[in-house]
Amino acid sequence: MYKLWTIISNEIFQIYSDRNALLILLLTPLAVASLIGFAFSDVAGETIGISNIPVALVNHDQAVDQGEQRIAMGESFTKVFVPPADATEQELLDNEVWRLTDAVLLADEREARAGVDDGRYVAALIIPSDFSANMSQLYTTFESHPSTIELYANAESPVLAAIVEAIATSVATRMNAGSIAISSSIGSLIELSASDPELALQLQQADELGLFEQDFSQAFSQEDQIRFERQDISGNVARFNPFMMFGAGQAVFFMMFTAMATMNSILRERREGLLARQLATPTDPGLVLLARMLSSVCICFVQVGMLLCAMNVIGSLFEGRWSWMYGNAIGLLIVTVLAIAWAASGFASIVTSLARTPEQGNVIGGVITIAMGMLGGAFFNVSSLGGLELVRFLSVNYWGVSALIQLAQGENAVQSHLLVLTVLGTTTFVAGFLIFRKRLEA
Amino acid sequence: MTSLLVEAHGLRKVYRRAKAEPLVAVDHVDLAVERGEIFSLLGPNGAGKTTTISMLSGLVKPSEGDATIDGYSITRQPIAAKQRLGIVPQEIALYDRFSPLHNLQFFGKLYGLRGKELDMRIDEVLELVDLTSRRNDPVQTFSGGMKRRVNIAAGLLHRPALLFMDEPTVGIDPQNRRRVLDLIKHLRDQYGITVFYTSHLMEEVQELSDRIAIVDHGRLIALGTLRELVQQIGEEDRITLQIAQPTLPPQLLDQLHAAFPAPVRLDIQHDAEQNSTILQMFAKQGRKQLPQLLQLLNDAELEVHSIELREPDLEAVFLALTGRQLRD
Repeated sequence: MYKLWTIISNEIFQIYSDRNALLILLLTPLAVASLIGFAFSDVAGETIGISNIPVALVNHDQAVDQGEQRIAMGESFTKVFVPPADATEQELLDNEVWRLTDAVLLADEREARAGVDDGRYVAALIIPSDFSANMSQLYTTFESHPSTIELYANAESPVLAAIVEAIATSVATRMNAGSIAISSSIGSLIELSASDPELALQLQQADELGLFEQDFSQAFSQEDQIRFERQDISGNVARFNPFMMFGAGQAVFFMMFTAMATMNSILRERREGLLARQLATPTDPGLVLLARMLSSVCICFVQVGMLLCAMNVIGSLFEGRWSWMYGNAIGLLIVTVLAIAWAASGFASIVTSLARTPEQGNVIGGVITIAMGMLGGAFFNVSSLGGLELVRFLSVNYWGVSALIQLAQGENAVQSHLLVLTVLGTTTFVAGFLIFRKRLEA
Repeated sequence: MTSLLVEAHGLRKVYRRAKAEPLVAVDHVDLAVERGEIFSLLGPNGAGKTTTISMLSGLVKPSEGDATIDGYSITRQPIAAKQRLGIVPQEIALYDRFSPLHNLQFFGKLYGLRGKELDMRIDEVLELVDLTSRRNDPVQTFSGGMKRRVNIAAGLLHRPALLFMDEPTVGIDPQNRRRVLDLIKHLRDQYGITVFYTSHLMEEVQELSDRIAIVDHGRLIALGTLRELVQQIGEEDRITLQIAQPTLPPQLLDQLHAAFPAPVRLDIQHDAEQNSTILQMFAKQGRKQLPQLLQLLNDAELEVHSIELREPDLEAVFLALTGRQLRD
């Protein structure tokens, strides 16, 4: 145990006393995650090279008649996403939303949810039946009745779901802004009438004649009329937080690099004679290899822990209030991060055992890390790529990020994630251990 | 307690290669090393010295054969055997961003040392290699010679009975080389440490060693003290003269062969660069023949530029045994 800890502590000290390593381990993922987080805090779809995100829309809205006017807000909302059948190719290209999404209007809500569950759609937007009725209250009873559109998202594609939410939020914001802007201008007239009795009389007459369709009181209300409620597959209400999502994604992505680099250092030490010197001591070679694996787990655990905390601080600063983004099950979160670190270190150990030189280890490790990031859905929706859909189940990123996001959304049933990560880590480590040990003896 | 500290029987190491014949790095080596001696393995680069040391120190598994360190089999009781040996690898095997103190603490702990005992041993070895004042400086700021000394210190921490030193003077200046060689003798004389030394530099081996094993192409081709090895090849002196004439007169050649009949050997070559003649004479007690040789040259009115007399050395032994220079 004493020797085990000696090697582990030496490795940890090596990494965390190196300024350059710290820069790569902590600052880079933090910067990347923050930048993406800030970008996705607003509508930024047009700056992202992504298109044709599959989205399902279900419109339960019942249009209401107000005098001679028919109010169908749900229909208006869906038209933003679903292009008319006669839209030209140029129109489809020119419209940012139509280019970014590949939206279909479905009548059956269950079909939409099932499509999200099996990965056909990244998200489903479900418009309630009282959407137009609530919105029209604004014009008739002068009361605010906010409506909630449900965004049913697939947690496996957080990035793409975030884009859909950003677009939907943008549409809702425009709708909200439209009513408030009109109310605001009427509100300015009211303010003026306070010092001008003649103007006040004219306004009253106009109102009695029904010339104003908006509620005056809304001019001073900052409350949005359209709200979003995000739900995950298991039906829990989820709050979209780009810092949480990208923090988790980047932390796991960069942690894979760290695991690869930490395990790869054994090849460098082999070349430099440091490994031989360790193995020439009365220490079991198996213990030396186990210590290296556990060092990697510790280093990755500390890295992810620090990154999640730092992302939380940045996210809280951005939101202007302190909140812990990664769920309340802290113990479970710690176990999850450990399982992710274990799985990543397992993969890294098998890469190291197969590489002949540190340079070869770096290249293979880099490729595997990027591939895992892609398979984990960090860059695009893997479910749309047919055969690759199954391969993602071998990705540490897929299981790791999805477990972290689930925990953040208050869904603590991550046992299957933990099991898969542990099995992945253990099998790859045992394989790597046996191969490397054989090579050492050769 | 037997006087033998290291015994190797039939050590063989074969490396399989993908697209070539298997490489026999060490081929059935038998050797025995006495306690308290400096035992050197001499051979050209690639002769199998490092592989032999790696097998004896438990780093590489022999394909055949076994060895014992202080009676413990390196293949069957590796931990006990390793407790008795220290290693100074050819590379500077140190964490160079860290200080000697950090490095020695790390390796000391792997030898099972801890607490005050570890501190005491670190003080001891740093004093031995004369680096106490630099104990906290990063190794990367050290000269090559200083790094070599820390490298040696790390192998001595646990006071091993046997110290393997694999070309410990590679890449250092003459001053530091002298320090290292003196330190090795000091370790044997003051601490009774047995040193198993490898080098391709015969001057070092000749100076340090109590006994020498010569290896070539993985095989041990000679073993003994310097005197015993020299005796194996007939103990000849070599006299080399540079004569300021491109050729020697035929009459003088006849006189030389008449004056120095076999088993004395004469070798005459033209030195085109200097436009002179190199005359070499190989003979037992050759120095005693030198006055007569000079007299003959003087009588022929030839000017001698230089004279070199070399007593039999390892270079000559290696040449005689393999037909090649050690540095080929």
